Amino acid sequence: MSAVAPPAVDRKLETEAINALRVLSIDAVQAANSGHPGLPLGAAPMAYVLFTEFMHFNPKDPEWPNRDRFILSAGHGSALLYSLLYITGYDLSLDELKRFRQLGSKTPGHPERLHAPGIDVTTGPLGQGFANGVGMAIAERFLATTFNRPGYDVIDHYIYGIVSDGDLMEGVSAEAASLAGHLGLGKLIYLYDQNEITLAGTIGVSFSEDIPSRFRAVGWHVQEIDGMDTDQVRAALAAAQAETERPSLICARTVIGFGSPKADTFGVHGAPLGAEGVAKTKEALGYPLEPAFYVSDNVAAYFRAAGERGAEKDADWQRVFRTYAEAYPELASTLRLAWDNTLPDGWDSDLPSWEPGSKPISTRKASGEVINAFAPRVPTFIGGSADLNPSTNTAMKGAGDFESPAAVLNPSSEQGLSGGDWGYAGRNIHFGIREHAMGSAANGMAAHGGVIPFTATFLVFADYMRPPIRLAALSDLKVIFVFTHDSIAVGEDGPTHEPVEQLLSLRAIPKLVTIRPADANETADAWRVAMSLVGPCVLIFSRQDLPVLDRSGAWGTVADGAYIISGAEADPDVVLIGTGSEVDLAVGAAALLGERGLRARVVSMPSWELFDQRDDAFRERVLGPAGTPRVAVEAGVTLGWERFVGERGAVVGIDRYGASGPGGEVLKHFGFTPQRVAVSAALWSVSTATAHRVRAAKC
Amino acid sequence: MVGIDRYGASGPGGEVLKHFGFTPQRVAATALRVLGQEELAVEIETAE
Repeated sequence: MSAVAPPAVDRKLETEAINALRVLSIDAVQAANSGHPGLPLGAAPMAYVLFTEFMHFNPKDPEWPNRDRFILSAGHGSALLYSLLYITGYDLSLDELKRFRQLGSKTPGHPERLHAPGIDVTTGPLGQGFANGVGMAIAERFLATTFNRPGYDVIDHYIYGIVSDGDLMEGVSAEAASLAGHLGLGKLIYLYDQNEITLAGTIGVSFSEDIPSRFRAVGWHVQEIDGMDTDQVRAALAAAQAETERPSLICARTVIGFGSPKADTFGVHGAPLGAEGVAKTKEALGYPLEPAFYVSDNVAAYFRAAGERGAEKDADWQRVFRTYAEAYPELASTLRLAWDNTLPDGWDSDLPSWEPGSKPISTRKASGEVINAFAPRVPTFIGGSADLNPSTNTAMKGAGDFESPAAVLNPSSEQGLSGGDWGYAGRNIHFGIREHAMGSAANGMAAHGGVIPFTATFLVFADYMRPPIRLAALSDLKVIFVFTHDSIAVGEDGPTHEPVEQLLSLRAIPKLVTIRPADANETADAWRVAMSLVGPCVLIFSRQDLPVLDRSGAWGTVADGAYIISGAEADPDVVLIGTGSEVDLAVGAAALLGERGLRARVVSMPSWELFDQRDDAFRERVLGPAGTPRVAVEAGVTLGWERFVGERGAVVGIDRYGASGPGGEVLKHFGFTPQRVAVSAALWSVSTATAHRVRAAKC
Repeated sequence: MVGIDRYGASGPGGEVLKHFGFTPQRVAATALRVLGQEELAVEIETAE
């Protein structure tokens, strides 16, 4: 469905329209006395062609599911995007443009999803937007293949982006490009704003590789054009649309800061032009100097017309969708629910439960059983691991593998498949060993909408994924990040693979919910919580088997963040707080203390963040009143536990790196034994004598 | 504690700091509250 350019281009109007985008952008930067004028001045011609002749969008319905997506991966050029949104008729006023980068405005320094309509994804940290687009393209192909029916292409759109030199330098874009090329994501089209200048200099000082060859090598369709020539941009976009089996990179040579006195220098990248610079730029462009933010009626009407054409496309689509819903009511209803981020009724009705005292099972394995129990009822739940399916237990058996139908002639020769069909309807995504791109692509899928994405790898590699996890939390993207092999109990692989500080560092990320369940039943509850959240969730599972706990005396649930496992009666001598595999340790310690006359309460605290959401009364009921002796035990750094155990409390943790050896031995070596927990508890509660007795027993 | 447990905001750095309460007044008021001197704390906060 190639867009048709106007038969004859009105060159005068075109120049004026491009210059309007430039002037709005530099006036916004000047008003803020802060920002990046360089990109808008250079990239305005291609943005103009894209928005007025190719992109399908409806400013009055910014969430139109089948709109083309636009990603300004070089988020620092936000003034250009805000100018486009304002001038094409989105609900973004000129006043907001004038308040660029000011507190409380809809126009923050970098584009932020949910701040202004038309921002499809939050960008700014370079490389993220590039990789988000790959996820959007995955979501588009998955939904199209799953839901479209003959005559009803209800999902069929492009993902466009403007990417910069900096985006292509960041490693995540290389990972994401490799994945996109492998998957043959033909709906993905990036304009590379190749101005060859970055913040601190020319790219000659740091970036001399052959970009076109690099992208061709990873399976992309690559064109090289003059990005200042609108006819070349038109032709390249049309050719990119025509290429359906490969993602497209249009290397568009541009001039940073075009028209300004500092054009083609790094000085124009990220500093306002100054009043004189703005005036000289307008002069050079042949644009009226006054008033600021001036746009002629002609130009304004031209841009608005582009938005209105999009509105017609949207209306056409709505009509098609209505007849689709008549022909395929179930599919339409499933798709609608998915768009509204609503889980199907009874989605969790097949979730397993485990009898207390039954065969110990690792929480990763329990998680695998849970996923496979709800997956058939949530058909838009898609994702996978970074080459760790046998270890993270995240394969949805028989749900197909997300692969390009054209990529391999004989899929039966491949190993590691999940069962089911090979193609874009597959729900198991093989991200390969590309954790960073996995996280960023999952963010893109969530931002696209219509799917619930998940990722999986070992907890120690959460550090490879920290940027997308932070952005998911910052911009309310519902992604479920699964991490297994969650402590020094990993054992033989040694300290490089044994997470110690990762759990705490994830807890430090605002708005992120982390859950580390203690056993199989908590695992099922953790999934229930994760699936019901609006934003992202991190689920943390053990490698080693854990006993199924007796919760017959429990008070509270996993959803409370912390709850009493045993010893719920008032005024315990000591409260033992554990998370994950260490809850069982606390249970053992409580027994040792009980034998010696100390009444210990055991609290399972799978989620700090959920517990923080409970009121003071609830928290006090679980932890005991202020002054209650408390001991926390967790196979991670102790930092942060002070807030729960208080000054009189103690923490059994590990503030150094682990060691290589059988997991059980490593745990024991670092003191993760019921005895040590009991000794700590006794020391910090009422009875030093009891501590000596526990220590002496050495059982 | 005087800290920030949420994401920041876009604006001039000084204004952003002030918006999130990083001011001598708030630190002093917080200290006074720790000392149980609520009235003095309010006085400092409302002074400007």
